[in-house]
Amino acid sequence: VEGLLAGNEEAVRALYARFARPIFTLGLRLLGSAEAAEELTQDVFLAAWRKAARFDPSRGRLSTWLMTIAHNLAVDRLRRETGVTRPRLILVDEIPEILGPDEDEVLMERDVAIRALASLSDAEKRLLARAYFGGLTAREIAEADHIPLGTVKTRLRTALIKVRRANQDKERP
Amino acid sequence: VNCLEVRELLPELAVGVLAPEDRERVERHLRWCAGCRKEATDLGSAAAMFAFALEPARVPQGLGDRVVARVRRAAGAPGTPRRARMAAAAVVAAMVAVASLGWGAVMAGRADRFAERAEQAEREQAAALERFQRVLAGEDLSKRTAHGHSDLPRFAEGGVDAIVLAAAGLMRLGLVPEHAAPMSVAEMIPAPGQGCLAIQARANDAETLGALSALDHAPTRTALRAERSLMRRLGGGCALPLGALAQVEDGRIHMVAAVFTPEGAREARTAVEAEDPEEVAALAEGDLRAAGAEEILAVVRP
Repeated sequence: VEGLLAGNEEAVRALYARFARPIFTLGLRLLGSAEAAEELTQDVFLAAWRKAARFDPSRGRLSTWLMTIAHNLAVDRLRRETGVTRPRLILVDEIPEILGPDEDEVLMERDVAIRALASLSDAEKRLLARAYFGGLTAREIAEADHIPLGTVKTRLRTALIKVRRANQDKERP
Repeated sequence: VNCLEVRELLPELAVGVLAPEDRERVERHLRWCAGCRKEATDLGSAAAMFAFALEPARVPQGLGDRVVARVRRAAGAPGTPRRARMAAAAVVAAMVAVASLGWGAVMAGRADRFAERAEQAEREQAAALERFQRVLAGEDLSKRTAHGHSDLPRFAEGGVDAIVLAAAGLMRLGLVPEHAAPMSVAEMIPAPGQGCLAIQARANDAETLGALSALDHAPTRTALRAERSLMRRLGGGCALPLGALAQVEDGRIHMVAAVFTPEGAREARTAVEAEDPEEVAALAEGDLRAAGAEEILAVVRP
């Protein structure tokens, strides 16, 4: 058991080196404070460690899996604590932790993401951001904008598929 | 929930705003429905792009150590009964994983190996799915095989002995490889409804319905009803390992149908005929159940 735990620690550290930054960033964006983001980051790695055996590679990449855990935990927390809120982006000014050579990969991941999102219109970006960062459900968006619920759902889906397609073209030339 | 309802909820699942009770229903469905799972994966990875595109913030000093400490606490040094239980649970989880996907080494390994194993497991899983169709053909191609159009180049280079492809895909690409042989229906029964095109209109819109009636192909409609009825009777969605093909001839419906375990080791098969779609489906259902369909399907149901 000790050996297994020691091995786990190494795995957690390696995962951390690769994904801590985007996870912390998402936490900051959604929850609005460095403390909350740190707590979220811890929660995500703990959840990932617990669910590691259940990670199903047929359901996507490790990075997506971790980010989905992070996003779900953050949104749950937002809804629990404040109902629907509009989180603010807060920049922290602290000495960065050295992340090592994996840093490059984080930046590459961002580059890929930005290019995939470039396929969206501004309206589509705004719509997805309201849901993804604002935690607004399709129903809430429909009511706020006075458009049918079905329309919001269709637009969400269309926008996501556009991003996916743009991303796929990059992945498989 | 059925696939249609799930598909409607997937965009919201992807952006993380599905109500908890819906999320649970959808997740349950995704555990066994490969088609919806694929869509959920696609939408989910698209949504994650928003997170990855954020201007990276600076991570506080020492957070890595705190994360590791937190995981270590959860893993628990042997001591309190609760901790011991959790550690035991982790071991069990790891061992179960070894049995299924070879995850044991992963748990104890580094994250890069983690990713490598994840990729391998992904390939194995995809292979397992395709294997069932090949075993179905009753041929032993276990040595070196490929599947899917992405493997065509490898096939052309002589890297594999045989390859199973969808004919429709080849025709679209304008490719018919040398020595290609079509598989018979007996070798590969299509999924229920395969090849059928449905057009939906408002029930009270007589004009549209009238225009569409010219497109209605009665034999196909009858065949589809029979196939879908059988699927419903067996409690199926789009991921049920069920093949069913109904054909209408001289006013009678002939149907061949079969269910398989995912790796194709066991099957129940039948060929029946009747005049009514429901009747032919009921006959096929009876035969398949008598041949052990329930046991076979128990493997794939959640």
